[in-house]
Amino acid sequence: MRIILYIFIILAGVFISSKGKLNEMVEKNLSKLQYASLLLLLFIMGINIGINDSIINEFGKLGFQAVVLSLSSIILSVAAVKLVTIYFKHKEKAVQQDEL
Amino acid sequence: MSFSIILAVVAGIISGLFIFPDAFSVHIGLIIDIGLCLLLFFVGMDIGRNKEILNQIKSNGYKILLIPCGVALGSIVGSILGGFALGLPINESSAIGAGFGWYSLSAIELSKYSAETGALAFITNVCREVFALVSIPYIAKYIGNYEAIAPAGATAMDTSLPVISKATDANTAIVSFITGVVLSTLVPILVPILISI
Repeated sequence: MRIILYIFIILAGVFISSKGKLNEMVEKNLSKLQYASLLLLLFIMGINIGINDSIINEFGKLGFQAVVLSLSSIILSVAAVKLVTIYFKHKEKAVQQDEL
Repeated sequence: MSFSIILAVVAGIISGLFIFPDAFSVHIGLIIDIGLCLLLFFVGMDIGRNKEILNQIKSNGYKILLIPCGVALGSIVGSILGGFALGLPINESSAIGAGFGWYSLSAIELSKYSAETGALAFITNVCREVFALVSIPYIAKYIGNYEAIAPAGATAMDTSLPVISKATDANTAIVSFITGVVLSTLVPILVPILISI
């Protein structure tokens, strides 16, 4: 249900701004508004971390896990795009052969 | 990456440690929900202002959308494998991977699930952005242009875009932007789905 709400909210934003119905003041300050709400959310997320003693005590472990997870994501995503580009080249070749 | 983002998180951690009572954590879910809706609304407005995206997809052909699909699949499978090695449950590792480097949104969403997973998502996706910025020029040189978009994930449309654009060419920069838009749209959809598995 939550996801439908999120998509609806994003689409509402897209619709309002693409129809040019944005207030000039909002339009000018859009990136600032976005940034302010982001900073507030991150501050609250920080509070959530700070309240929780077990996270503070395990910060080193979390750091190690983070490095493993980010590197494995990057390596596999590069490999997946490599497969996509191989497919592109394969298709291009097929088109060229058809033309000959 | 902006200094003020790290500052906001650190200020939050310090005030959580010393100022706010433990009972405050009951209200955090609701506050995050309201703030997240606000943020997503602004993100939507930003996308709506940029009318070029659809035209760019049309001129590049729809097959270009295979690239964000590849990045999404690779990131999630990669983090599941990494999480497997670390002994993390699949729902946590896959949801963290589906942050695609957008550390703020994925971490905020996951901190509703558990503060620890939120913290791990934050650090993981910050690491991803840092590793992306460092590795993109080398991947572009030794592997290929489109592959250089992959580490950036959702940041391929903003923070990593200048680096990709410099390391590759104009066409790759456009593909990078589209990839970033698609992945950014997927983050708020995939993260809640994967964590609830």
